[in-house]
Amino acid sequence: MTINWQLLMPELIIILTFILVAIFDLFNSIQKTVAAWLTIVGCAIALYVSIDMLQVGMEGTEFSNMIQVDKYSLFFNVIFLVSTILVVLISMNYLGRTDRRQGEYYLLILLATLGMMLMASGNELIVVFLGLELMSLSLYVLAGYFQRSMASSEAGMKYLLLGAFASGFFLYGIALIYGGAGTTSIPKIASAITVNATSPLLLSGMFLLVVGFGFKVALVPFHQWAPDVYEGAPTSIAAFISAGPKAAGFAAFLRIFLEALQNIQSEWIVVVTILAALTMTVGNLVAIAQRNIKRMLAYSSIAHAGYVLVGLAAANKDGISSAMFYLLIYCIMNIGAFGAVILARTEDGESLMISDYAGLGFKKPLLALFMTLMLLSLAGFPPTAGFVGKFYIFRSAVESGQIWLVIIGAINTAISAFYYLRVVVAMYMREPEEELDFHPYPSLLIVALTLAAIGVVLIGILPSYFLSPAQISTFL
Amino acid sequence: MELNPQQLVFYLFALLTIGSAVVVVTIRNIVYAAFSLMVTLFSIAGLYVFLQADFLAATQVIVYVGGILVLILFGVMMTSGSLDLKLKLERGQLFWGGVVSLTIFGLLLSVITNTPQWENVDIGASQEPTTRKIGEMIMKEEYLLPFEIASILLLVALIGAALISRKEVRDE
Amino acid sequence: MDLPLNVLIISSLIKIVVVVHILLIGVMGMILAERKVSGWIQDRHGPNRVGPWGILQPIADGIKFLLKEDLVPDHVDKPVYLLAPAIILVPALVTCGVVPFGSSITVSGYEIPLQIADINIGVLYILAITSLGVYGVVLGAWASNNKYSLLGGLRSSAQMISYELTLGLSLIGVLILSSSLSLREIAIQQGSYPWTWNFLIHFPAFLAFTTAAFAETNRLPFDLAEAEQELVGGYHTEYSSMKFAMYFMAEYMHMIVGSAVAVTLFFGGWQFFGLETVGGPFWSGLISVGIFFVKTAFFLFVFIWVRWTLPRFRYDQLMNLGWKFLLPITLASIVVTATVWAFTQSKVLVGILNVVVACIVVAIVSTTLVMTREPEPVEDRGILSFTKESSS
Repeated sequence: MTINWQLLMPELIIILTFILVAIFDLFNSIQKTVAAWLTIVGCAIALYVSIDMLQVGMEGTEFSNMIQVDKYSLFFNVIFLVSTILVVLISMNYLGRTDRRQGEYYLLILLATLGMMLMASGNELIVVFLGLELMSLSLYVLAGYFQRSMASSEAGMKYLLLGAFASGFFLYGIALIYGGAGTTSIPKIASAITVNATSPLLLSGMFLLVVGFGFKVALVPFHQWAPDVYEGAPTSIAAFISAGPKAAGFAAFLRIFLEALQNIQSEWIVVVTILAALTMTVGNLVAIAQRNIKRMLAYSSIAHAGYVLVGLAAANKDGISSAMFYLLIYCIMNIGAFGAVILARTEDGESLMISDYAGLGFKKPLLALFMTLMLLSLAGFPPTAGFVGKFYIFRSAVESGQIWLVIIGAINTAISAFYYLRVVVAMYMREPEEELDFHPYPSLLIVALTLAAIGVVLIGILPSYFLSPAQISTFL
Repeated sequence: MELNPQQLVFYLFALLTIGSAVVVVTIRNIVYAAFSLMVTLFSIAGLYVFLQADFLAATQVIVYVGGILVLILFGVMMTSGSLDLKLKLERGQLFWGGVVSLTIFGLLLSVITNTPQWENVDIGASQEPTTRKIGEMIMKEEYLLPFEIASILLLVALIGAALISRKEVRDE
Repeated sequence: MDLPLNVLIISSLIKIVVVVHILLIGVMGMILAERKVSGWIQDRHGPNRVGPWGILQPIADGIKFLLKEDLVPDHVDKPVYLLAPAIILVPALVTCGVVPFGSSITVSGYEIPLQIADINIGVLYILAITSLGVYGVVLGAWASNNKYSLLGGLRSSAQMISYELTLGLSLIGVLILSSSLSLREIAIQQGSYPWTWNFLIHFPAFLAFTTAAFAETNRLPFDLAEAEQELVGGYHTEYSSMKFAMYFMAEYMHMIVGSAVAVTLFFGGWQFFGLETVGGPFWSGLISVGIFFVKTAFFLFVFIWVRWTLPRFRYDQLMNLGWKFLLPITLASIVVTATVWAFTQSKVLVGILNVVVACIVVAIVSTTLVMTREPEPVEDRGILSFTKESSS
């Protein structure tokens, strides 16, 4: 068997980085931050290669059709790698120099990234599942990284239990689809399903897959784990969980539903539409009631999953490309928001209550600026990336006739502005209740936040420059 | 309904599987539950044998009965006080658990009854060992990549377990 | 299966009856042998009162066990307590079903293989059944409701899990070269000359297998589960009379079956050069059984020999041996076997390189992982707490 290794270059680079980090981690005498820098360099090279392959337009299948490298998967690679690099940047100051277990932290982040890449490029449900498990397993451990903290351990435990449950559903769905279609290969399933012969096996398999994906990307009503995990997990990991894995879940979600199950579209589109409406509404409404900023961001990320789902509900080429585009934006701005949370650190830990942010606008202008920018973008205000992302998503839904969904989405955007702006208002217009002693700015965190801010503004101003790669990258 | 010996054996195993599984979830003593889980897993292995999946059956016993269940028992014994622990169910848990399982059961039941025709695979004719075929598929043919990913997956599990069980150590 | 069905059934039944009885008689023989050999090693007589040279001692022991009071303590969990001794006998008895104990004999025109069932996943079957051995110990220990028993059960399960891994992995090399899982096939492929047997080709794996087999039987030097000085009797503290005897028998059965499996996998089974065709199709079959018996007896002797020679391991030594030495050795052996076989197809080279690499692995492990291990920090230093208590 000859293998075209060039196609797998990004994955191979990640594995190579993994091995290097593992070897360096063996030696106690080496500074642990070396692991972080190696991770960043490896991811940056993989990112460069992915972008290069995307521009050249390298496509093909490998390992007897197990993996499908195309522009779609490469675009998602870019999303994953960008978010991984940002997360590693915000992690370095967060963990500090003295944490001796850091090596494993970065190893697991790398493996999770590998899992995501496999999910995006998997051409076979088994590969997708293995990628999903690779990613989830790393995240379970990372969520419980702070063993001393009860909340972190609880987050890891909860995530593990519910995630395992979701994986069970997912696997059962695969099994039923295999029963109905006789294959687990995505293109073969597509050709095995004919429009007029929908077997109940396929339908129930489809339903279970929705449940499985719903858990993984936190759609209402399968979202219960998200707030607790985000709140308890280390903030850098909360940023990580909210960004890349969600994008990976959607990458597989889109590919499986729009390619493999396209012929039973009429069956699943109702489910997806309802889920999208429900997710947006519940996510935004509950977010209003939150007083802890990490929980608020958790519910906001649930709501954002709902927006992306609108792209899937649109079920056309534009839907896919706008969902991809939105995921890119969402990853950058969400990691930025969590980074800003890390930035607001005091002597006795992080300031997690929204009330702690009162008066920050004048005391810590840079922090407040970053936070404001990210929150405005999450809310979808015009000059920022969040606006263009939402705009294209809703436009694609209008094109496919999902008017009602768009109306619900628009109402939700308005609702969401309320709780995002509340933080901004607190920062600039309210006096602090107590004097909090904030840490000085850590340099790397500022670098990461600046990068994210540049991304958010740049995409907001020049959307077409980033949208057009997404538009030519759809698989439909 | 006339039962031939094959069907008799099948139903025996099926009954054993379901019966012991019911015991697992209803009994309050945790060790008894683990023990009857062993019966469940064993009878599933029996069903595999019945499907001529000899390799799968042996693997089922090695992995589940010989590995996972022993670890469960080990964990139960290591946890102090858990031996006399009586498992309790809150009424709310019972309700929601019941709803979810009945929904899934209904779903599967409707799948079974609504599927127009099940493909009959004649397993009597293919009595050759499955091990060689499985080995070739994993090492030579299409499933090489999943096999490799699975090995990375196990690596993650190892690293994760080591990380969790290790003390949180910091330099000064 | 060329035999007609009725011949198959009858011959199988006869074989089952014979094998089970040989196993039971073997246990008696082992009890006597153990005491005689230990006497010899410790320079004393051993049993010499019951019958000539004490050979009726096992019968006396058996009668004693049967006639002792069958005590069931009040505080035990009755169903499991009664079931556990039976559970531990099952794996030992069931495993012998796939072990080929001879070539084949021809009776009235039918060639009957001397093996109860030649299943094509024989090796996996053995691994699967061996892994069940732990249940009898663990459940017995738990049901006894006694701290010492429980500790014994815990130790036993930890030990068995650790060594099962080695047990399984050490066979992979053998399986790679034989490309079959059938025990009969593996035995036949080894040929009849001692220098073509597997124990030379896979010497490190063979040592690892033997060690793991020792650990699986819970015998010295691996008898931490019943360590008398620490745990009274370990998992069988609360057992008396015939129920204790069943634990006792199970240990010996495990030894016998383990030895038989080792002979089949590593010592060419029933084959020995020059004796394949002696005496025609019937007698050569019986002779092959004799050869198998002699080889197994040798292994059993080693079992006894080791028990009366080596002291018990400390717990961390046990885990170190299992995880840091045996496991890497077997893993290296798999890699070497697979690589060398793929490139050269030379069994000689496989054998030599296996030993060389195993030596290297032991050298690396003992210098890096075991000798120079820095002590664990005693106390965790306080860390910055990152998460503030928050209400949600």
